[in-house]
Amino acid sequence: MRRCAPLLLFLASCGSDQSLEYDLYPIQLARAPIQPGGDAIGGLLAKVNTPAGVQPLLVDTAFPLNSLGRQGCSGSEVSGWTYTGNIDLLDGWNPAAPLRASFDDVGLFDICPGPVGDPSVQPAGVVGGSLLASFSVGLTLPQSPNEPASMTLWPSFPATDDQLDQDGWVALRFNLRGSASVVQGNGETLLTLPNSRAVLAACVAPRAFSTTDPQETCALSEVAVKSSGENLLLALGTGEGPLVLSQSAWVRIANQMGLSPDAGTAGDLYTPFSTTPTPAQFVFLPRLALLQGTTDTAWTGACAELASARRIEWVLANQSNQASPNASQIGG
Amino acid sequence: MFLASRALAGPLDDAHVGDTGFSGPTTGDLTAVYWNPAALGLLQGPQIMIGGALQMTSVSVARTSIDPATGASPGTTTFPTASGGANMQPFRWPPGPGGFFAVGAGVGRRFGIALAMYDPYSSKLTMNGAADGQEPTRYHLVSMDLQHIATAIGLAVHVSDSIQFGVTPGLLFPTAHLVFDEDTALSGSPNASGNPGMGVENPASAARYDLASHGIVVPSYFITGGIHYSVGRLSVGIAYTSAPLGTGGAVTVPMDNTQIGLPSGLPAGPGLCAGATTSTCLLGQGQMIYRLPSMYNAGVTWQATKTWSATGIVRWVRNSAQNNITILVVGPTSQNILGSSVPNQVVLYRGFSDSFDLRGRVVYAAKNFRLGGTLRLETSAVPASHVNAAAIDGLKLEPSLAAEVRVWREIRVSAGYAFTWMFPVSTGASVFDPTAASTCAQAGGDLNNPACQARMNGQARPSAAGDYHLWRQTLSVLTTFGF
Repeated sequence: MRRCAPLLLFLASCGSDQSLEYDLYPIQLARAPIQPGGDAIGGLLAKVNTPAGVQPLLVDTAFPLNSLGRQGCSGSEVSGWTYTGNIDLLDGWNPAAPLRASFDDVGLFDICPGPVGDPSVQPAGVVGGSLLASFSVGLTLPQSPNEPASMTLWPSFPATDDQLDQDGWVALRFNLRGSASVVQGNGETLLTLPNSRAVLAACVAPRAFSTTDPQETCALSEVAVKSSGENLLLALGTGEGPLVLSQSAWVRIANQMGLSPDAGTAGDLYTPFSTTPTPAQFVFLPRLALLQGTTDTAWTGACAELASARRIEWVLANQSNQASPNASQIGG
Repeated sequence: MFLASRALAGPLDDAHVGDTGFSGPTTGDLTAVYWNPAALGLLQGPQIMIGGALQMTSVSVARTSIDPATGASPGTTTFPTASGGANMQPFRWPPGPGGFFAVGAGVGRRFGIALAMYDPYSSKLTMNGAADGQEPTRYHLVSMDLQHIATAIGLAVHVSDSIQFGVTPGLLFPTAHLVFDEDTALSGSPNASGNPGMGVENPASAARYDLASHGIVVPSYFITGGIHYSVGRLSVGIAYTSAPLGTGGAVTVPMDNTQIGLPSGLPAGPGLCAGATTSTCLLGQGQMIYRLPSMYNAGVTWQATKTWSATGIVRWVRNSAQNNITILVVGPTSQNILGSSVPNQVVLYRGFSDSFDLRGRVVYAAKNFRLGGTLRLETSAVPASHVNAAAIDGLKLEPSLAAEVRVWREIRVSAGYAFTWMFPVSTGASVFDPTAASTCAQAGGDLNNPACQARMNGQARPSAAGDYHLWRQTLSVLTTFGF
């Protein structure tokens, strides 16, 4: 016991063996097409140095694991199991391009994700949520395919959520979800993947809103009734180009929008979660509101929250013109 | 008796927490909470300690000349000698450097328990401008006041008559105020005013970062464990203090009051500083991240006679953990200067090394008074080439004298004086390389490039080459109530 006490104190300050080297400057990213042949405003692609040259590496917050195909990912490889490897992120497609970040001795799966956006875009692996959770990640995602995307890694954010709110930033709070167990093919080896998925509440396709519209009020009991749109829970995935909805979710939204479930353009969806394309309908959603998720059972849902926020915004915008309604008229 | 000098203007370390000129890893008083909690087992009855120190530190910095185009030394741009200093006193709340408060008791020669508040890691210095208005050290330090108030509970257990074990879990509450300038023209890209070629260390390109924490910050956790052994006239104490636990030794301090004085060459800014309408100031928040060292204390006391004793003490401070200070800043979304013309992240290089603190002490103790003399020698935690105004350190020699008198049956008062002299440090070639910023920018930020490694580590800053001097005086008082 006399010998163990100091030893325990030593161990208390020990860390993991992985080494993450990066500076606080942006790392250039590429983007996959949003759909086959579409604009390059889809999934985020870093450039990773591999024995086969510089390959795209998917940066996907929704992917629960980190992977890098040791044999490459041209399509004929056999997936392996886990190994400890290195990820070197470059700023260009040339092996001599500047090295911008180096993750050494990282636990990786020897598997290839599916092509992203277009069958021609085959990533060599994925930097998933479990590794990205080691940092505070800043992503620049221009709407134009002509402007460069970038990723900046910080050890933490420079302020609290409340302070960021006060500065005009939008801080959406969430609990990471999505832990899972992984079993090797023979069923013997089991790994546990940590919670790493950011899940946000969303209101899809609410009706349009303007502070010049007629005032809308509701009683407390009408909060949910007078909302519009469809409540959804969405996982935040930077490796997917379009907003991906399940068929059942889309049917509900189509009903809300008065569209046929077959509306839109039929095509193939390429996501990293599947090595084969998924038949999909590509449609345009007019509006999507993201809200922070909550587990409070009294919460009436994202669309009711949005409707309430709109009523408050309406009052604030018009309070100089007329007397303010009381709280029950706003709807909480 | 004295609360002697502290490591100011250098590594984050206080070499004399609660030290009254008599305390150390073998001493059974309340300062054992810091030195070696096992020695709390030597307490007999209740005890209270209240102390404080008046401390005056002076430094001077004579920078080597630089080339005005590259910032490399030497060159045609010369600097006046800069001076700086810090006066510290304990009459404040929370008790800052120089303050020590503890209450505890020994229980039946089986247990010892104590609660203490002290400041184990501190550094404070303000650099003065020269008579001609120049601020030669501005890119490394204008002023700093970094403190870490520890609140800890020490517990000791007698394993046998000669062996005690002790442990002190504690909380560290950091407070910080740091001011320095950033040369926004170093990267070689168009500077703040949009005009390239303003040269290195041009005041028109300097952005002033003034960052301060506010209120009580979420604390870090640490633990100290130790053993005390005594046989005959010999006492031995060994203890280990961890760095902050659960964070790899890192401390994150929210800098809620952050102001950035924009370069004078910058077009009108958003005017948000401190409610004052000024076009050259930006108000925001930030975070400061750095590591604290772990530490080993060891001491041996030989009770030569009934009245005379000699003590040797060694402190091994793992300052090599203090590699850099990372500062992240954010401002209102309404401004677009931060992150473009003015960096929203700054890394300040430290690159410290472990230091060893060696002390020899002789104490004469009579019934109602004690006299002590200590000679302390401490190796530098900062390699000479790494020395800068924010990290002035070298080989230090410190003689000190202390006296304690029993003024009442249960009350003892001690006072002491210490003079610390740092052997002058000449940096030679500074580890800070202002050309690294532009070289790295030209290399596209390639981390394989040594210049980019330097930028990542925080070494791509104006040179700190020069000669550094430091000396310090400490006058302290400590009152002990023993019941």
